[in-house]
Amino acid sequence: MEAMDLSGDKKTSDLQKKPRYSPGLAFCRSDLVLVLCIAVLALFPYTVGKYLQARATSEQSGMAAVLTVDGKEVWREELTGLASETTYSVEFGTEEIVICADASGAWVEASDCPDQICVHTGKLSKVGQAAVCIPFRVVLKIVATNPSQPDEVDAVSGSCGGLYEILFG
Amino acid sequence: MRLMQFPEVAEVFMKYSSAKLSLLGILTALSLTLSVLESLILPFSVIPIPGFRIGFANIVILVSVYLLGALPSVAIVLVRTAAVFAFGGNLTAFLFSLTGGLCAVSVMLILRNTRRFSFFGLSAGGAAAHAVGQIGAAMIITGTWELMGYLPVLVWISILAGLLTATLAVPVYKAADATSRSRGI
Repeated sequence: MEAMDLSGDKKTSDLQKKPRYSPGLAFCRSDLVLVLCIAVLALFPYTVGKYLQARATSEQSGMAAVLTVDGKEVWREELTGLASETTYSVEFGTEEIVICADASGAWVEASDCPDQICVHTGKLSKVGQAAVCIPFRVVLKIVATNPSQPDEVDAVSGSCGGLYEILFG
Repeated sequence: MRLMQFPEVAEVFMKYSSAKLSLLGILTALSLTLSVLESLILPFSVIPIPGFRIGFANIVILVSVYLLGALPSVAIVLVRTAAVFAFGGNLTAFLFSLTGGLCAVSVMLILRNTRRFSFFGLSAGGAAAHAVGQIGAAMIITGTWELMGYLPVLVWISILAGLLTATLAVPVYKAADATSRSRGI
């Protein structure tokens, strides 16, 4: 804790006028190492997610659209072999979010949230893609369905899938 | 004098010289101003990257980490996020900037205490920590692991933003440092 008080957090050190630690003001080699380490480490969860997705997709027999609100699943639609377009809406008081799905994918048709990012995300047609609406805490994602191992695989297969499709709403 | 209702907190700040306390006040006001100005001149429509801001308030935190120390820097972050929330922010944005800001300031303090990194290392590390804290909060709020896929992109652009704010912070630090030395803070 002594190191925390370097800049004179106590009155005594104010009086003694200890020389204060001054930082380097130019980009140095240790900075470069730090920046590169962070940049590489940031890739780690994405790579793991890609691997899990690849593994899950190879076992997949179909795909389903899953809608969660506050992390709880409220709606699930099997997309493979879906005959006609279906819609589903969730109401939050006077506001609502409308989801559409057909055999090729699912998308957020309309939302009353301020920034509309979930709507602009567009159609989700691959396993692992997701449209996220943070104001409503709604997540629409495409998961792989596998009759032999239903939910457990689904929960993992979605993780970190479509990198650029994932947007806050 | 409302602070007196929390004797423990008050006692910590009572130890500071009045010059240091006023510097703390000025820096807090400055970080709040920069925060509000940034959302006015660079709204989401200008930089359409969700959850990303250049974070000009970071300039103030960088200066206070060196000039004032650990506790005042954390105090600035807390007051800034609470004030932005009070002046018409929404709850989710508040939670994101609170977790992000606290992560950033902790990482910056740790990096400062290693004494190995310059302004630029501190700023980039803090910005990356902000991104991680924000995504962590978003994952907890929505209960979605998928958001982790967004981490690399957000961390990379945050590092660039951190290097930019460090460049801007250097002259600010030089001026604040010279003034505070001549005032004996």
